[in-house]
Amino acid sequence: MSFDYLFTGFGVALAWQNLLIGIAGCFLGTLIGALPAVGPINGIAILLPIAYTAGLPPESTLILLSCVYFGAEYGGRISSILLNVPGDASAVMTAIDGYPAARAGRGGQALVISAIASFCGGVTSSLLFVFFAPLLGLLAIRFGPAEYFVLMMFAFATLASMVGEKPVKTLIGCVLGLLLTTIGLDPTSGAYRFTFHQPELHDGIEFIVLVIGLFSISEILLLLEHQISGSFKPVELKRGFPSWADIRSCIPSIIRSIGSGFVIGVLPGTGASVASAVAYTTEKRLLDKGTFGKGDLRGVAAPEAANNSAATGAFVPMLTLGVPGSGTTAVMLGALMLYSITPGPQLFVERPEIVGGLIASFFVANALLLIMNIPLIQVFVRLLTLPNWVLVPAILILSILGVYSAYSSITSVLLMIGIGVGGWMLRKLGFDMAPVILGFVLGHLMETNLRNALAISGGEPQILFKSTVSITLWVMAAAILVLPWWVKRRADRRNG
Amino acid sequence: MTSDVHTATGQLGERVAAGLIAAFGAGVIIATTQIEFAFSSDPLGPRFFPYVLGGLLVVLGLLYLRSPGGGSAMPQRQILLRQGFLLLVTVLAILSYPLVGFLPASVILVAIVSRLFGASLLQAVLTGAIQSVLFWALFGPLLGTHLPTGSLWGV
Repeated sequence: MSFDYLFTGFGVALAWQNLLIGIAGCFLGTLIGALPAVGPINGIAILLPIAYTAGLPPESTLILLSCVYFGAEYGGRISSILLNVPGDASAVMTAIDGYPAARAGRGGQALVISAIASFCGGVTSSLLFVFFAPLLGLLAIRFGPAEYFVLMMFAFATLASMVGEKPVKTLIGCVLGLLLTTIGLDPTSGAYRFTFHQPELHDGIEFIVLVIGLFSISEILLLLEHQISGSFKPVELKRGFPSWADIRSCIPSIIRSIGSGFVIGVLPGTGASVASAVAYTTEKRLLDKGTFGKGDLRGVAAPEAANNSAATGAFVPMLTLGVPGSGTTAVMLGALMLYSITPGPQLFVERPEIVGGLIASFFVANALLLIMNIPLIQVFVRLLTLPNWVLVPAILILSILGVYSAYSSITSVLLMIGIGVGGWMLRKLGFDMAPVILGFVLGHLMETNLRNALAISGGEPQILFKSTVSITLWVMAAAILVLPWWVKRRADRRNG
Repeated sequence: MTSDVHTATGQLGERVAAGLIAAFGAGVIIATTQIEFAFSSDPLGPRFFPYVLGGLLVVLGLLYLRSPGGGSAMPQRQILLRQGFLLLVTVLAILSYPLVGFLPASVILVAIVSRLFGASLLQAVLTGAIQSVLFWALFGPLLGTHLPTGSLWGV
């Protein structure tokens, strides 16, 4: 296995201008993650058009976005722990034990533990990435249209069984996301679908419009609701570092969570939020003696380690297969496409500075973030105390400008607002936004590959079940769908 | 008791939404029949995928109708009115960009949103002015985005 691309990458990532971009990205990401309402996906979606407009080269843009991504994963825990307002979905599990710890005056300890767990998760998973990404890249060569279609089916299957308490809602979200991709010109037949003779819809719905609408605008509406109902209350942070015994007690949880987090992160359609949920529930099952949910630091360490591990793992399918492992890497995939870069195994050979620079930036970002985070905890906390009347208008204007600067279209901005209202309704109904985003991102790939596969086979659907890779993926998808149901049914029978 | 009423209202809302999702799926199927194309190089054609998705939405909507849950009740009228007001102001500000320009429209938008989130009049006006100028400077002169200057001012 050649690591030449990595050496090239460290050269790129440690170039002074990219290092500065990385530091800025880490700082901005931590702020973005820490701010309630602006998660990593929003931060990246807002910064992508800025980076593009500023004319940054692709490797610098990717370094900036990945540093923002990791920074946001680090920062997301701050509002989670202090305010019980997760910066994004992956920080939800951190709030379960982090917030009670903060209420008990151990907020500083919880923040330090989460920074250490995030660092361990980020660095270890980056090492796993170095060893496994090229192998997965070799596997990607064996992927044809049929295999890619089955891979999409597998991604949806993992999402359906693992996200949320209501798989029906997850599936509806996926279908809505998929449906949105059918709007516009069909590239295969040249037919206009669901454009209703509106020229603005001929190109379909732009990804940034959808992401900013679904996340930022809907969050602003929810924040207004919390503001008026009085359920938005900041808490005071007290100083304090965890003892060595506290840190030692978290180590086994961190190790287990890194492993499970990376595997889940690699699976397309799962991502950091699923990884943190699995890690937390596993640790709760293994270790809970009535302390979980009441400020147990292991309940903070586990989801944080898994969260950052999955954040790295999600890049594996994105770079090697062109399939995003999470909503955020879906935006990163959009960034690659914006620069006309096609992800896949050839990317490691043809553009080593991009892949290597990105992987090297994972290590650099995690080191920078640990150095920045521990001493700066108090500073971030003060920024969090900014009142909503300063914060929310800034989010709104950034959202409007993010879309306008990308498309120079008032219609796109209005569409974003409309999508935001739809997103708010879905969130009120208890829908997760990630399936909608993933459906949207995977939709084109899914339809195009299915149609290409059937065009190759002359309409014979057997092509979808022919290769070993396809059969393996079908079996895995079926197992993921059936196993939880079967286990639950068995447990129900046992309990009478 | 209040919680029960809250849950019941939430479930009613979810049932209505589930019905709408199923109806939307049916609408997608009908709209798909209207897609016109002369030739397709693949055996499925451009109608297949929307048909499947529309059908799936109908089935999933009905499944959701059978077992709602997990959603929260719609907010009170007062909250809904404020949310509606926020959206109205935002849409009006966006629509007025070509006429009055980004900067004046944004100052007013930010000030009103700031006020909605609890700022005093002075705080709201200052927030509106400072944030609008900062973001205009960041996106306009610094990043080179052509922000609307406003036809009203003859620019």
